Amino acid sequence: MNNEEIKYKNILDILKRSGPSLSNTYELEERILNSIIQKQKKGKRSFNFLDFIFGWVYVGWVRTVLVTASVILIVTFAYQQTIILKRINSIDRRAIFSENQTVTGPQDNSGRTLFFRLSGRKLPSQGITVSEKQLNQIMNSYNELEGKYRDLIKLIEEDPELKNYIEKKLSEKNRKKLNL
Amino acid sequence: MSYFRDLVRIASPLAFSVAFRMLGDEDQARDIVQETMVTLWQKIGKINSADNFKMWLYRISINKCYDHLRVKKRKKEYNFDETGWAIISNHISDESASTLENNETAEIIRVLTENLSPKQKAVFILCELEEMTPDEASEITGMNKVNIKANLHYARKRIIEMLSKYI
Repeated sequence: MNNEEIKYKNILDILKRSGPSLSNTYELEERILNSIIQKQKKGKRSFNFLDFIFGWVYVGWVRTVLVTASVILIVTFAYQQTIILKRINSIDRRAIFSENQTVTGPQDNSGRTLFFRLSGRKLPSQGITVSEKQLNQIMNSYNELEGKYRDLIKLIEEDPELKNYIEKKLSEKNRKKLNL
Repeated sequence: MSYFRDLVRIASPLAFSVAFRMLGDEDQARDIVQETMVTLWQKIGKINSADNFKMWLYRISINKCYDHLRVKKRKKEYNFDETGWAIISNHISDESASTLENNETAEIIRVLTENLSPKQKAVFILCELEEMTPDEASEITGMNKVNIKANLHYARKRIIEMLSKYI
């Protein structure tokens, strides 16, 4: 054993003999117990609900799996509900044309429904940017025009001379068109 | 809770001994003891036997010390500490001196292990100062036996080199 090794051994002996002494042990014990009590309180506050729901499961990993599965289900449910609500909101604002010309939308829009039915597939089913006020104006003018048209037809049918005159004029017009 | 208080009374000095030797600071070592005891309270159900308990206690303490050492900035260059080496020199020459004060112990360990990595330091403290076998040190640190022996060899070599250089 050389000189350095002896020094090493000596210093090790001194260090082994002089194990660190822990003073104020009571104070340290109190600190430890207080921090444990605080942690327990925090834990109780956050896990009471889970214990209430899954308290009947005593196997740790089964409980963890159940908690995870329930969280996934809740998140999926909330996500689906959000999507459904979004779609319902967009349907409420949009007129949807189907093959047999039925129109869905709010039930109080019978005038608008009629208008869409008459205009049919010529209007694009999506992207109609007509405001409610404009739509009402169009409906009013359409109704007014329809009334006037009915009155005119009635007037023509009641007066044979006028009927003959209009038929004559119309046939002349048709002839001109054919000549062209 | 009273049983746990008794357990704390028994286990605290063990955890403190390792933590103090690893960190060289009494306050930090006390913090480590506190953290270790809180972890002990949380995981006490997993401990099966008394032997297991001791190993487990040392493992938790060592891991917490690693965390503390990681936070400390590493010194890239070794600075010669005259006071520290003077204390070592005095105690080596004065064979009548029985035991050291905590601050002297901390200073000596700090000076001797300043150039060692946290793992080498842990192996040195466990095997040389806490007098554990390589198997026990392996169980505590998670390193295999060969690594323990290699780290211990390197630690001894570095310390002997420093002793020959500065004393």
